[in-house]
This record gives sequence, C-alpha cells and structure tokens, in this order.
Amino acid sequence: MSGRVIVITSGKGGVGKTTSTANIGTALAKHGAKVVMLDTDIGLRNLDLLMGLENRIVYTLVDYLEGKCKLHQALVKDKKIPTLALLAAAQTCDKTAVTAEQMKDVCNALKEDFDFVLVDSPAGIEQGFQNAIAGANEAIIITTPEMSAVRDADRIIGLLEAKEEIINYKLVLNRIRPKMIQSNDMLSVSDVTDILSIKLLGVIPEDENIIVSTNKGEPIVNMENTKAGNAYMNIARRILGDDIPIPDFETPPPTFVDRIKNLFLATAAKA
Amino acid sequence: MSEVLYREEKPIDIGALNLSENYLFELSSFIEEKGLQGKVVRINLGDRDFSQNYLENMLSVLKGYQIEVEMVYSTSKETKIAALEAGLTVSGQLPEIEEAVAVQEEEPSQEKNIENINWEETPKEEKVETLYIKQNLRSGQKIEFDGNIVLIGDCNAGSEIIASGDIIIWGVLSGIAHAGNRGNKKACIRAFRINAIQIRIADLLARKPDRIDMDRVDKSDLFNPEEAKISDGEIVIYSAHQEYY
Repeated sequence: MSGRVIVITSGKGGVGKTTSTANIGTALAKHGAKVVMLDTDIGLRNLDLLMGLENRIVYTLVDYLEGKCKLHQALVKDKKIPTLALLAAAQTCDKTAVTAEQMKDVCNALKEDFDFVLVDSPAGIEQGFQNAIAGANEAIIITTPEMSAVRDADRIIGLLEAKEEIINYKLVLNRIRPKMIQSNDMLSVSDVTDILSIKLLGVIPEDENIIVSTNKGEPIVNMENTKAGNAYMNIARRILGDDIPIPDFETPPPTFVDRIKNLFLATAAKA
Repeated sequence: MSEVLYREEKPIDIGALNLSENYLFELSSFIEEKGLQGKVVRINLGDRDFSQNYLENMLSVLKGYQIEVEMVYSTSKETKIAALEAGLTVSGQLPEIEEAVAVQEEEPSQEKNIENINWEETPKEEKVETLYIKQNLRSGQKIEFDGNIVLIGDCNAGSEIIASGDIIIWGVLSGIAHAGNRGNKKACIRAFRINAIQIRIADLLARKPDRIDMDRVDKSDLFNPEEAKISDGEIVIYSAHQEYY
C-alpha cells in the first residue's frame, strides 16, 4: 500500500505552511503513522529549525538528487518519535537546483516506505511551488483570515485544480482570533469558505505558544494542552479518518449571566 | 492525423487534435499543408486530457504562424481548466461536425442576388453565440468570448470575464466583468450578487465604492435559486446553493 503524498501550500508567505507541516507531521506520527516531511523551500529552509533538527542534517535533498548519498542517508529521524523523519532542503542552492520531474521521483520513492509524505511548499506560484506539487496526490491549503491571504489562496486553488493528479484538497484556516470575529473585525470561517468554495479541514486559533515553540525548535503539539496544539492534533485525526466536528468560533461563549438564565429556563421547563 | 476547426465565413469542424510525441513537428507540417497561416481558428480537443504545458507549447507554435486561437472546445474537466490557465477561451460543448468541402462552396456566394432576399424575413437580432461554462472562476483566470457568456459558478476577485454580448453569472460576481467589449452599449451583466471590483460595459467603467468595512457577501442572504435534475430515475429539485459545480 503506497503512502499518501500531501502538499502543504498557500500562495501567500508567512501564513503557517512550515509550522503546519511540522505539527501535522508530528501529530500523525504520534498516532502511530510513519511520516516523512519534505522541505522543498530550497535556499530558505525552515522546517529543520522548527523541528529542532538542524544540527543533525548531514545530507540534503539536493545531495540525494546529485547522487552523493542514498535516500535513507538523507532522512533525519526525529529526536523523540522514531516513525517521524525529515528530508531537509539545501540552504546553499536555490530553487533552480531541482526540477519537477526529480521531485516527482523523490515523492514516489518515499511513498513506498512511509504512510504519509508531507511536502512543505515554498510561497509563490513559480518553480518552487511547481516542484512541490509535482509528486502530490492531495493538497492542504493554508490561509489566514485576511483578504490578501485569501486572494492568494484562491489563485493557488485555481492552479491546483488544473493539475489532474491532485484529487483531494482541503483548507486549513490559521491564526483566527475568535474575539475579533465576534466583534466583526475579522473575516469569519464561513466568510472564507464562501469565497474559496473548498472543504474545511480545520481551524487553528492564534496562539502565542507558537512563537515559543518555534524558537525552542519543539513543535507545539509536544507542549501540554495548547489551543493551537489541540487544533493540530484534531487535524491529524481528521486526516486519519476520524470525523471530529470543527468547533464554532463565531458565537460567543455563554457569559455568567447567560448561564444563570439558561438554568432558570431549564428549571421552568421542567416544572 | 491532427485536425483543426477553422473559420472563414462559417466555422468548420474537422475533428479533434490527435498528435503524438513529435507533435510540434506534425503541427507545423499540418499548418503548412492546410495553409492556415494568419487565420483565426477554433480547436476541438474532444474528450482528451491535455496539460497546461502541452497547450502552451501548441500555442507558441501557432503563434509562430500568426494563427490566432479564438477558442477551444473540450469535454474534459482537466483540459478546460488547463486551457483557462493557458489564457484560452474554452467551451464545454463540442461543435457539430460539418463537411470540410462546404468552405469552397461558400466563396462564390459573395455575389448574392439581391432581389432574392426577402428583407422582411431577416431577423431583427442577429443570432449570437453563447459560451456556457460550469465552474468557479478563480483569481488569475480569465474568460474572453465574442458572444454571450453564461457562467454557472462564482467569479472570484482577481478573475476577469469579458464578452462582446451579455454576461450572466449564476453565482456571485466579485471579479471584473466587461460586457459589450466591442461597443454594444445594450449589453448587460446579471449575477446573484454583483460585488464586482469593476464593471465595464462597452466603453464605460464603474468601480466598487471604496471599502469602509470588510468585503464579504453573505451567501445565505441571496434569494434561493433552484435546479431540477434527474436523480435515481426521477426529476428532483435541488437548492442551487449546494456545491455541485
């Protein structure tokens, strides 16, 4: 059974592709899956930093493609989870160092040995992006609830729809602030899905712990009970097939007074 | 062998492109053989899947012969999307096939016998072609057509839809729409909600008022259009807001 090759892309930069790849990969591996994360942002690699593995990289993707090493030598195992691996990009080359055909071959080779191949795409729509989607069958599109990010996500979805090998694409809405949505200062989940017209995989709230986790080199799903960490774990479970409903961030939680009122109403109904 | 539909007075369809590995060479020899240099053509791609790369290569060969591709026909979803990405106008309906011979017979008819034409019977409005497309138009995509356009889907911000006739959008118009682009001031644009960045009709232009609040369209706010389809051997009416396109 071949593994699933999922590209994580967005169009816009800085919306959370690499963070999501690191966390979804770690979360899937925590559930027992064999996962390899592939960083295709050649020249601007970040996935190794987020995973805290930058000091363990001996060979990179480009080394493998140039024949300097075997594929398994370029895979870096995670510090804690043995079924999780990273194939790092090269920092000293740029995106012209790899072709789409080569990327497709790498993905095909990796999916024989892993349940999931997560491809971290760079921002943009040029060579880097074209390389990243070359070997993928599924896509996760990351966006934040901002007009510019949503516009770029729409462009990306248009480009993905033109690629017949990608049969399944879903949206992850990142960095939402429920209070701003409730006070009508931020686009809501339904606003974004109305514009983009694709299925929603998950919603991740803004969480300061992400900054901490990035600087420590420790994916947030490894930290205890964080909002973003829980959201990423849920996304992993949905990818694995569990039908977990997406929480509603639009309606404000009941205030103390609301709860007392509800209590009275419930008591009155019973009487 | 490859076959191309081309238009002099009347569109003639000779069939679908069926090119092999050496397709660029075959295409060149086909063009020279049929004398298509400098002509306006329409290409029938049938139900085959073509990638954007293939179509762009084909277009650059055609461009070298000064051939303008007015539009392409395809019933394959992947081809339609790839063609849009390549900047082509696409129709989902394959044209009727007519005899190639007809072209030669048309030319002598330039000397029409004016007494034989019954002016009363000439219809008031010329029959205009309509392009019928079923998909959401995403940011960066463009449709341009000489005739009317009916789009079943949304036209998202960042996309463009340009017609010489009317534009009807069975969805929300958020992009740029230009009707009557050849000067027809009577052209109009219809949509469930016109939330367009710019609307252009003939040579006039109107822009959306400057934003004071977030740009959003509440789709549940629109009236409820319905669609009738056959399902399990019966005709069933569905709410058109369901995502089927």
